Amino acid sequence: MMRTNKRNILTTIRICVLCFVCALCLAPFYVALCYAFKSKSDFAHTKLAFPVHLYLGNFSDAVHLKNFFTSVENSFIVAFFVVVIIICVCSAGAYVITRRNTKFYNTIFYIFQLVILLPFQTVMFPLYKELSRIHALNTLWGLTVAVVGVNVGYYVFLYSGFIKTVPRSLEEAATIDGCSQYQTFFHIVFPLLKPITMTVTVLAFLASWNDFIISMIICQKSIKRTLPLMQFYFFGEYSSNVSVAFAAALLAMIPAVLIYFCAQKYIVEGMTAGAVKA
Amino acid sequence: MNKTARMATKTALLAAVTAACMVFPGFAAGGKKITGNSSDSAQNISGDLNIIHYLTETAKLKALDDMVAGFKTEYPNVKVDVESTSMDNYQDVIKLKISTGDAPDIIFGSCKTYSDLITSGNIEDISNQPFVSRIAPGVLSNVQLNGKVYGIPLDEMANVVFYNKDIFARYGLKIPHTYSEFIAVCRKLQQNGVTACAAGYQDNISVGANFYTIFFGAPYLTSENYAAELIGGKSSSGYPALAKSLTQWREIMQYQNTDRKTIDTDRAEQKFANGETGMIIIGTWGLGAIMNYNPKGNFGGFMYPSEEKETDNAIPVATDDTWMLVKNSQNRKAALAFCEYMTRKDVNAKWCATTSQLSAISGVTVDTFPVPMKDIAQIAAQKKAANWLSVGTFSGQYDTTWYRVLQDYAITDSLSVADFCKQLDKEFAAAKK
Amino acid sequence: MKYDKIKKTLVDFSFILPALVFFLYVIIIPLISGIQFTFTDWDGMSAVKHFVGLKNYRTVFHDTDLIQPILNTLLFTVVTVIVINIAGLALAMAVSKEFRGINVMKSIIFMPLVVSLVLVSEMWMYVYSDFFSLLGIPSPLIDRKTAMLGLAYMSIWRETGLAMIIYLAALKGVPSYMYEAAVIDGAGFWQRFKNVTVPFIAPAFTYCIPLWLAAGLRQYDYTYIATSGGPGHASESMAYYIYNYLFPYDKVGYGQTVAVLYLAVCIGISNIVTRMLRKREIEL
Repeated sequence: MMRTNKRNILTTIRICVLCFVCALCLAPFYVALCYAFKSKSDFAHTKLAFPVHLYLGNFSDAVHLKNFFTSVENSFIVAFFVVVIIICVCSAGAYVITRRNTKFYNTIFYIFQLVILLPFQTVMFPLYKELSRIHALNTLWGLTVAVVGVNVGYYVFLYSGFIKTVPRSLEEAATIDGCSQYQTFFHIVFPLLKPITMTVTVLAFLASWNDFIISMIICQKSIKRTLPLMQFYFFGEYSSNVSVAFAAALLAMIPAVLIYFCAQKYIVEGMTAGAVKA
Repeated sequence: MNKTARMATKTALLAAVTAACMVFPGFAAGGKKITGNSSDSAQNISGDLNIIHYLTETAKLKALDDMVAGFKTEYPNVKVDVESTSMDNYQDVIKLKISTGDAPDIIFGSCKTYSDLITSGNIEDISNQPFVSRIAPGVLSNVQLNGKVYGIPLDEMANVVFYNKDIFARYGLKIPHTYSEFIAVCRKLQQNGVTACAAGYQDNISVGANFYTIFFGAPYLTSENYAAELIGGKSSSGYPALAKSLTQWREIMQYQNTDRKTIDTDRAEQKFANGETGMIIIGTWGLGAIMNYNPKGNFGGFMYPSEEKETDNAIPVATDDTWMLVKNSQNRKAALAFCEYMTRKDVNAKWCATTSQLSAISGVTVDTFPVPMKDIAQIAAQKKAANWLSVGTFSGQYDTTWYRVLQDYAITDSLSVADFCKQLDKEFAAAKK
Repeated sequence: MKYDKIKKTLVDFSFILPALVFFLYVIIIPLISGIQFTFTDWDGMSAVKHFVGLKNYRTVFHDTDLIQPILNTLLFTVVTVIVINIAGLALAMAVSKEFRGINVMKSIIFMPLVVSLVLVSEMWMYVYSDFFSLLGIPSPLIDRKTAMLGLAYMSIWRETGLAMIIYLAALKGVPSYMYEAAVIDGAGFWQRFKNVTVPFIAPAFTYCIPLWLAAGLRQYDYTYIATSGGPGHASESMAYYIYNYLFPYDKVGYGQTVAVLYLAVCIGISNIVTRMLRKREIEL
């Protein structure tokens, strides 16, 4: 009897704490909601009270803002290519690094690991000059190249952690059967990497979608801006009408939130399966 | 005639001329319209025109939209693209754009503040352009560097105190003419439970609103070359006028709204417009927004009295809304055409009417000013004015630092004047790394 | 035979080639050419660069302006690494037992990661100025002493969800029979935690701590958007300091020098930390 009571109390405490944490997590979103769903004058009066009348004027203003949809489009295009390229490039690279335990590949791996903490500022200026030279500035492909390059080390690291846990027996069997290296990788190994690929997809998508500093340096032109950049300029430009900026921001969050809800399961799966068993 | 009589005659003459100007538009010098080179007819100029600015006030944005729309009807083959960014990041953005080869054609900004762009050869010298002669001669030095003209000022801004006439009437307050009277007004309002002044120090603009009004009047006139001297290495503690202004500012902050550190200038303008405070220390560039928030507000304006003797006070008046051309721009013809368009009397008159600002172009008059602006126009014409952009000001890292240390001073109450000077000197020295 | 061996090596190499190409082009080559800038006083815009030898390096070592950003970055990094990991682990343990609504809670706690850093900064700026004033608490961003902590809290708010997911995954890997055995042996909560949980989730530590260490050392976005380094220099991070010299202040030579030296320091710190963690992991 005592045990059950104690457990009940603990559970209740746990639930309370969790609810409090959830409330903390949601508080800033609530502030954004209040700004977005109230007209400017309304907000000045009711501040953070729950929006009783949902004012949609801010949203219609937001949608008409210059380049709103273009920047969403730009973010999507860049994120899509970044994810695809990273999956292909990093899985292949991690495969050969894990399977061939030579000094050459180990050194490369070590350098990849080091670069994970490279502050972008260290390469920002020379990279920017170089991209300018080949006319890649203000282009989406230039941005894609930069984002991939900056993240390639980290995802090779992630992939290799997982590949280590994949038994070699299947590959050895395939080689005996006469498969080429490429066939072995694409048909045997890669499908087995599904959990980590899912994790990488979500993380790389988020990294590219939310990237600010690389986009700021490379895609200045308003037509080529990505979402975070557009949000930043909106908040600056509309500092006197922040409600519209928040409405735009909320709209922009929707794709990311949707993808997140669909892919949640895979994130945990992927993490469980491999990222942690380095 | 004795001195007083001569002064009186001068004043009367000035008043007469001003009145005449208001009654007879186009009276003042140079009524002829300068058209561009006849071979470049409006149809021939085509291509893009990229303009960038950091304006956020609704009235100015509307004026800009109107001006661009008017330009487009006259030059239908030019595609005009207007981009804006916040003032806090403007320098970054401009430099990024110029270094990338994505430079715009026309940029917004005062020649003195962005003089580093001029000295590094990125701004076009327009001294020999025909439309330059339309700029009012009194303010030409504001857009010159080393004798060459680099920018076109559209209007002038004055730094003043706007006040709520109803509140003043309610407590029997009169316009203060000395600093002690000003503080007395603040105190009386405070005692009656009314916030004396509105302010919002979350953005850089607040520094330009509050401190510039306090310092760039009479105190500035005692040390007009301060910018060059400070950049040259002179210590900021060697300027008693600066110390006096900082002390005044600190005292006035006591009478400003308690949430001044967490709101920005726009919200402060709102507060004043809604009648929550008796006064606001700001530039005339803020009047458009204030009138927007409360078109029926009963407001007036007066000169900030920094001195103890009424006749020593001066009102800071300088050029505002200046546009510069980027050198070697691909759309030079269109950019020059736009500059010519901007400086026409009728176009500029419309700009000034929409923004409620004094014009910087010769011979332009506006009769539709709101009441506070009429007060200011009178003061600017009659009282001593300090044109604080005529000699020079800070640019580049010095400008960023100057604003930053001032904003820090506003937000950190424990920072003394001596601390401020030490900090400023240290930062300016660092800019020479 | 030899031909086969060469072919095999080339095939192997082709797997890593694309990754290497991106890496070299975006990271290594700019890094090396950046080093050449450190020996000049280039302003980033003019066509001419003057060679000044080691002047920039000497300036860095005498530069007292570096102290504030270094302290700020250290404070931010230490606070975020510690709090994110502890909170993440605690939350993971709290949600590891299934009950109704647990998935909703997990989703809510992870949500902040979906939001861009720009939006996080903007939302929190307004939370600090509006929400906090309702509760009577002054905004941390306007006080020199608490500005960096205010930024740290933004990061904690955002990243704890990820820590929770990682630790949750790690916890799932702890065999339950170990817990049962420990309970039978009479072990209390803390003993169970220390002797059963920690050894099994050690790899998660090795993964998480360097991750947020790196993120903290690189921190730039929050400073740039929320406070621009203010008030004064109280919330200026190293990355922001470097950025200022590279772009707005036109001192590419000096800025690049600081960047290169900072990278060396970061690599050193990361090496030490990772080695310590690996040792601890092996021990456990």
